Amino acid sequence: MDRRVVVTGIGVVVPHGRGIDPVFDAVHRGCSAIDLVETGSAELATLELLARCPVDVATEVTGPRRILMDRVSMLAAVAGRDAVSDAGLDGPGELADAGLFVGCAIGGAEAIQAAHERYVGRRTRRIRPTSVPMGMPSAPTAHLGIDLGIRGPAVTFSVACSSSSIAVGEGALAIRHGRIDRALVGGSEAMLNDVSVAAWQSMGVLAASDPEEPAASCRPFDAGRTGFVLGEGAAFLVLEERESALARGAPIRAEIVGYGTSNDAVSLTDPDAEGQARAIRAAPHDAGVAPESIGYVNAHATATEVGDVAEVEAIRAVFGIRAGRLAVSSTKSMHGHLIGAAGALEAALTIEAVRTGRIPPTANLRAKDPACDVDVVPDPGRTDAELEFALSNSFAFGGSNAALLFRKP
Amino acid sequence: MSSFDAIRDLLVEKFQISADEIRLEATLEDLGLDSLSVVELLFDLEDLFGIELPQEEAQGLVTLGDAVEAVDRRRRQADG
Repeated sequence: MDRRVVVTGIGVVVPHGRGIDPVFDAVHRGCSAIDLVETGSAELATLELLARCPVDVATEVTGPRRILMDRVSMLAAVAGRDAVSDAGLDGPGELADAGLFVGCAIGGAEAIQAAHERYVGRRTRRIRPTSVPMGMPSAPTAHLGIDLGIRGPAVTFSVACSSSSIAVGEGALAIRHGRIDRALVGGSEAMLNDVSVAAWQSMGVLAASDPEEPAASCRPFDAGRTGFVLGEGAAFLVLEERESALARGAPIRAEIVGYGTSNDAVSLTDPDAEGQARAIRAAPHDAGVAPESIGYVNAHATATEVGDVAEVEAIRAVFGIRAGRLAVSSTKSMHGHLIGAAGALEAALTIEAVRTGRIPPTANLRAKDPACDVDVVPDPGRTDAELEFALSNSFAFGGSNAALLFRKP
Repeated sequence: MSSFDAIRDLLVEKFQISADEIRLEATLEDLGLDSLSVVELLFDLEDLFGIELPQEEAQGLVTLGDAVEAVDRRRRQADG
């Protein structure tokens, strides 16, 4: 029989703050962490909608290695440590044989921007050597490994917006296949530096600010949606082989029962409903459960027109007539799009939904787009005592799709 | 600001080295600064004082006093 994989710890350092309990409560209440903030350099200052992480991670990270840590690594260090402590695995040597599976789409974006500013602004080739280890996408993985003494496989997944869902799924597979018994899995992203924001702005996918209520500007599934809001943060889970977790009396938050992944092989930036449906279908198939058992889907839904409609089409293709009764919400309406950390944060929220039976809403709905004909859980969140299985979707630029299926413990 | 005061503040704030360890005769190694950290410190000093410390010179620094002296020399050249 397959080895089963459970989630025993969660650490989040995200736009709604730190700690899964307050973060999940805020999301379930429909509170937005999005704001219109000043950003950019002195001469290019502008107001942008962003979902910044309010946690002062720079003061949480100590020791000589902090000079090698970009914000993306500091966020990861704090969230990873919190996850391990939540699982009760912070004793010496507890993670010596564990694996580390981390999603990060960009890497140390601030260090890279600072190096370019120096090169162009001062016309010099004397660039700080620290920009090399600070900028690499595997830097958060490396720091977590040293901080927590994790000495098994340590792998970084850079798969755009699916990065950390794929990290969670691959970590679960490594445990299921018997390569390891424990893993720290998740993702980190810190790319709210102005060059990154401006490039996304040019793509035409970012939300326009709501004139009355900027915090309500991201409106997935709504007929009046205008796009998403960039966010930052880190989210990590501790995964363990179920028998060994039970044997040590570990707190079990959920079981990860299915992981589906697929590639569109169609476009760099356009979503493809058929490709997405293959990933969604693969998750319950992997778990050996019928799609009908799933009661909640935390959608990828970024609030772009093509994206939301393609995802609903994919969901309808998998769930058929039952899709109309399925709860499908987009929490990105409140925490923004964390890019490489999005999948891990949304997995954490999905785990809490299935553990507590509390389904988070899609915030800011005014008039549902008729093309998004599913139950999108309008504000506020609800309770479903029967909820047993919940799915979290992530779809990436480049066409790589991932779906994670969680079961109530 | 004197070069020593500037270096001390950087070491305390950014590198989180305890203020009472910071003496002119302390070696950079004693302070826990590896070669990458020393180069990072020199870049910070260059930015702070608007000077340039050539790589060859940086490699010859052993104590904190050596670093203060190198920075002072470059600052005098920049002023003169």
